[in-house]
Amino acid sequence: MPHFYLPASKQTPEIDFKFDENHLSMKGESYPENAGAFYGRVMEELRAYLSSGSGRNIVVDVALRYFNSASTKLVFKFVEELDTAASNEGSIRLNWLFEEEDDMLREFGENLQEDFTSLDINLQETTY
Amino acid sequence: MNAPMNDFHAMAKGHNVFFYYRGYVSQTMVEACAEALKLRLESAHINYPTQRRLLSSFIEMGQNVVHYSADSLTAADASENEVRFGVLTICREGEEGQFTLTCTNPVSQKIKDKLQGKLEVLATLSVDEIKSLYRKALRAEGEEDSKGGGIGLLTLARDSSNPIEFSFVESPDNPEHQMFTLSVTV
Repeated sequence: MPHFYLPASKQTPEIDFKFDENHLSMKGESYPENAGAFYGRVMEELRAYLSSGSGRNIVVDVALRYFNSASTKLVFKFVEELDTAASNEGSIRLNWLFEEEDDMLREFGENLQEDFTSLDINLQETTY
Repeated sequence: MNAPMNDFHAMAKGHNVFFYYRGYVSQTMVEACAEALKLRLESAHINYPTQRRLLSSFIEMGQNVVHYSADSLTAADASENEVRFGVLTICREGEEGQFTLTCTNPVSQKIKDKLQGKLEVLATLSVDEIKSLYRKALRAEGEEDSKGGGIGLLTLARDSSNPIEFSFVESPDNPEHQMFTLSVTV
């Protein structure tokens, strides 16, 4: 599948899906006016990729410094989609990056670990 | 400067007003204000978790106005570039104190009834109960009339260090509207 890339804006994260390397990344802030429209496209790409093969070792980096409530729900769906696909793939590793002092994003990552046990979720502190 | 403006500024200072906007709100405006607030909080060395909660709550409130205020300059069925009326306020209790964020906007009677039920429940819950509801809501399908996945109020309640406060009063401008005010503390 061709490389899917959306540059970051102030309200939307950079989306960098290098499908041929099995490496997907989302990075930046997310509070668009219409989160459904933005993530609709992203999810479409993700679903097409996940159904295009199997047995792959996939690495996903999510480094969202801030996301609003509407985006939260869609980020959760994104992770859920990965979790569902995990049994079909070799492995899916999700690196969940957050600012070291950000207790809320740390907790969000910990909750993802509890909710999605088919994924290898790695919590990683970073400095923005 | 004229006398009313002087009074207004003195009153704002007396009430520790950190930010105040009354008028029509758009996504672009929310973004620009959030950016300026972020720089101001950083330069004042406010601790990161507080910065984070303040900006998150400000954006959530601003977007609530843009999505749900009953007074709109744009078409009722628009989903982009909406412009709606509201008041956004941030006050700080003294130089080192907590921040209180408040938003006010008109809503219809029908929305009032819906919000009131939800908020009355939220205002009585403990932090753990709010977090548990929040996790449940993440898994639930979005509500039909919600543009935010139905977790906006839960997000505000989760980030607030005091129980959220709210009120509805008759709108002075429109008998069919109620002025809805919501307040959180970070």
